[in-house]
Amino acid sequence: MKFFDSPAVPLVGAFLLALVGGGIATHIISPEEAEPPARPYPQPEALPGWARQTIIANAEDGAPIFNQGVGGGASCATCHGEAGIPERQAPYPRLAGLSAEYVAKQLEDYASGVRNNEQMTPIARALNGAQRGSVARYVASLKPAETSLSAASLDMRGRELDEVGDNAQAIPACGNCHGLRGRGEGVMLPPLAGQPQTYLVSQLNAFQERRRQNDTVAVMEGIASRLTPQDIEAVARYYSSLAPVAAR
Amino acid sequence: MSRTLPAVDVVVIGSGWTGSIIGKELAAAGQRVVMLERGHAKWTAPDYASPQVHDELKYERRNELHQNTARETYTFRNTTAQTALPMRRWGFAYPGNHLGGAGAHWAGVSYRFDETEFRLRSHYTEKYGAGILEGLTSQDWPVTYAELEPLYERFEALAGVSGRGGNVQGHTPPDANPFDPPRNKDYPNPPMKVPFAAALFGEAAARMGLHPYIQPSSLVTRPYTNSEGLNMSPCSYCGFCARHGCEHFAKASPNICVLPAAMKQPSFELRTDSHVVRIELTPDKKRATGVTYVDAKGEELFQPAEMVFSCTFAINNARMLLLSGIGTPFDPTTGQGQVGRNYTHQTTSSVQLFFREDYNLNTFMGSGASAVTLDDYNNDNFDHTGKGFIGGAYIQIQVNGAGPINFHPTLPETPRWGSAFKAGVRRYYNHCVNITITGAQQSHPGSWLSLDPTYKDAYGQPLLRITSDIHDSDIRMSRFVTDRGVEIGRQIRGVERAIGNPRTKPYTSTVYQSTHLTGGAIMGDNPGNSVVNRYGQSWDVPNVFVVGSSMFPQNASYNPTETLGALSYLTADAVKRDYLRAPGPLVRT
Amino acid sequence: MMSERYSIWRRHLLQSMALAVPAMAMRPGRRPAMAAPAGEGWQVLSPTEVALLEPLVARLIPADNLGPGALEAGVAHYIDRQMATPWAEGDHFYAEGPFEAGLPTQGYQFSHTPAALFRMGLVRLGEVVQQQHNTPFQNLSPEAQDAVLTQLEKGELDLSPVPGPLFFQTVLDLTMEGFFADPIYGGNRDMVGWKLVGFPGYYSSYVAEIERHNLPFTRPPQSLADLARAHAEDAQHGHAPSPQHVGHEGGQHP
Repeated sequence: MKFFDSPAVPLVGAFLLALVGGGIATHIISPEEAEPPARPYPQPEALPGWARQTIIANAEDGAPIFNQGVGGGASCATCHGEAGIPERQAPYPRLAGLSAEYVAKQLEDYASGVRNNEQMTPIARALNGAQRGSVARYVASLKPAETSLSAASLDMRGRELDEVGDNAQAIPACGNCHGLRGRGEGVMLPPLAGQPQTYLVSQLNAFQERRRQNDTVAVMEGIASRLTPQDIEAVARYYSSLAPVAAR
Repeated sequence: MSRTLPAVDVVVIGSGWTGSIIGKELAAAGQRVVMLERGHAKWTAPDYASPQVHDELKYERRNELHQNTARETYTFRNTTAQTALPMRRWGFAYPGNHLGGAGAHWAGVSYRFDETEFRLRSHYTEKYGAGILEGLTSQDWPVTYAELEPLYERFEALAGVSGRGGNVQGHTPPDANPFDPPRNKDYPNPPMKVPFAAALFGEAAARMGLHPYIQPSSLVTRPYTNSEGLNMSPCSYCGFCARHGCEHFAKASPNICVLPAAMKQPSFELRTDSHVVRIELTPDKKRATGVTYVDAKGEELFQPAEMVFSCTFAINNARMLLLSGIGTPFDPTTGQGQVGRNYTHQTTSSVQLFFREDYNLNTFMGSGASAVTLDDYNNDNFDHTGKGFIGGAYIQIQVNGAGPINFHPTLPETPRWGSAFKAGVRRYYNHCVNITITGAQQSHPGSWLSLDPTYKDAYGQPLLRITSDIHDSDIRMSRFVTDRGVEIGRQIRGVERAIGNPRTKPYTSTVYQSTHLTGGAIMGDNPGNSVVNRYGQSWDVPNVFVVGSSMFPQNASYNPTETLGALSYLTADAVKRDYLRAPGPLVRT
Repeated sequence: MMSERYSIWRRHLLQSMALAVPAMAMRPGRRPAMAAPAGEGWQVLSPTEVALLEPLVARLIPADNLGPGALEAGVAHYIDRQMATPWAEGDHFYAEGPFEAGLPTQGYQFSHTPAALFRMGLVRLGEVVQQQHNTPFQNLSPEAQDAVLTQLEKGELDLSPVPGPLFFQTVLDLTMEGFFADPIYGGNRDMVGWKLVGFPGYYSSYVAEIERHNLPFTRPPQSLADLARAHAEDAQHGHAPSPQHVGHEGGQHP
């Protein structure tokens, strides 16, 4: 378990914040909890850096980073669009609708190399932790445009993979985790609906080829490895044809 | 008059773990295998896809995946002086139905039995004297732990078991179970994540000098390709696990771990909606000729076969033998006869823990096997001198998804309805958890199975009758271990109240205890103490094999699945190695 | 050995221990995105039965300062729909005789299916209350209704041939189901039962949260009604039926 190896971080007096629930809570050590142990013992793992930065940051600080970039580097808006919505055929993800926590983790993973992308790695590395947190919060403030379901292009194989999966290939339904119809589940399972098809294809290929390995318990690596190129096309076409939604 | 189908080599009754393993092994060895499953063909995709499978009412209240009591149930009484009456709806256990049997909707808890379990009578007699077993018919197994060790390993590779071995070639990591029996290899996958309540339990127990560890589980913790080349995905801790099918391909089941491999064999055929009514014998009752079953259309069919494997749910194996006239029914008045003898369940109990309101236990997250367990009061890991019982129980906090229809706790003094109830359940739903205590159950002459003289199933055949009460030895055991559970509960941070509920007599059919029913067709080293030999082979009809927890001479505290999986491999190997070459008894007496 | 073990288990308890903010304060205040529409019309129950059942479940889980009760949650509608299911007709009920009284360890030994037991008990309760109080149950004060229910629970009301406590338990079980089951079955409207206790419904993955110990879980609950709604969208757009089935005949969604 990863927290066995984590460095000691002092807790007492620190304010830690609950993250995933979407609420913000203040944690205080009460006297009876701080019972003296028999011997010094390692402290539990702190919240990951990206999570803390997301909580501290505010969206206003992220706006200029998003729109102008830092240090002369490319801005987010250049590729992902000013409203966080890229060109329809672009190979970039739609950021509008993603949660701050998800975006902050991706930036940290780009910076650390856990998630690999030629364009994003230098951009993420040019940002410090606080800047990543701010831009992530700004992204979260962008709401996807209201569009209607593009009914004509619903891909039936894609829909099958979304709703029931493929028993013969041991592929669970995508909707099992990402929410039915790509609506997302919680802050760490991103909505897939309305993401550009090219981007979805590139990510499934990246998981399949282990160029992207930053998901929890490597679940996507296993699933993507069993998708055929045709399945990847189908599921990407299906989700890209659905109306975008915001992370819940 | 039934229609006769083309003959095959092997008929397997039931598609649960035992049937699936044996069916696949024999088909791979070139045998023509027909598997008959009474339930429907339900597969992960589409039948268990989310979100519809996350339905507490359907799966946990309406028994969607369980044996249908309207068609087949058990009759029950505590003693021979009473008249057995049918369990008209489920309570005490959830026998499986449909493809994969109970293996499709189990919790995934995966233990090996302790070394002492296999020589139970010898061990306790040698150490404490024969008196400690007074009144019990618990006996030694005809196999040893050492013989099963490599077979346990095979099952673990099949199911992708996650855990940390406590005795891997003598090595005991500090957070593993020091009471583990010796293992050659560690588990194929690392242990599961630990929910809050289970971690609190582990912390308190460790502080008390006990030995908590993360429960081994057949819910995989990373992408895994099993020993059959079949793929599994990691568990998501969704909280809808036991009694549900798993949509994630994470919970090991015959459906995802064995049957797809079996169905790749050209000589394997699965027939669902096929209810076997009896094994047919030659007139001299020395040999089985096949089975008679009823298909979905209601047609009665005779499937001839060279070998029959009865791999039905647990105690239904005893019923299959009794309905087929195989072996001699147990007679409690004379002690003669073996079929039906040594029925056991498990001696379960609990300690209910009520927490302070600032402890958010979030027990709606979790999995069927997400637990921290300790074995300090299990098996013979503690001194039994003067205690008046043998065996023990494991103590744990298991966080397996607290659906509010079944789990809406309040303090015992709170009314069950009205505004006080409402306030109570709001206060405690997320701040209450049970320590669960799962104990062994010993066999004794007052606990046995037979055909009911009155009540019939949907096919007009007698129901299986359970006559059983719990022996005082186990009642004393439950009291002792539950008291230890209360002691631990009081040491857990945040606990305001700890209320122990030890098992009491009489044994009841109305309260869920576990689905681990055992015995009735027990294994032994000679026909005088058992129904089948160590390979599950009938002493009376050697081309009939009866495999499953029905073989256990008494029940261990641990969940049975790994052991019945290992026994399935023991049977399959022996048949492939010896029986196919020279059909006949595999054990001579 | 002990300290090392202790340390390991301490480490399992992640950073958010000792949360000082009461959990209650953290519950979401906002309205759910998808409120199950209230089912109109009754499938099985007669107006007389409904007139008795609604105030009855309202006393079992009353509306109060903690929020809506069983009546507002649609529990009576839930029960009505359950009474129309194969379950209520006994598709999982062993109905072969002979019927004998039996012992407590032998469980339910009546010949009545769930529907028959429930409806017979309801009729008898109505009659008995009318006899004793000269007015129907629904006209009694809440306090008097509670008194009747307490008598019923304790076996002090003769509902023969239905045992009073058995009928009481049946109604109580159905009420708990209707209050806490997925809204797709017609009860737990607006997920009020789930919100009362903080159950989040059907999230499919907690892999990112399971070791976030003591997390105040504030995400809004979600129900199978989501899926049913998606299916309804399909129908609107003229799409083929979904490959995934949801709910059962009694579901309130198309």
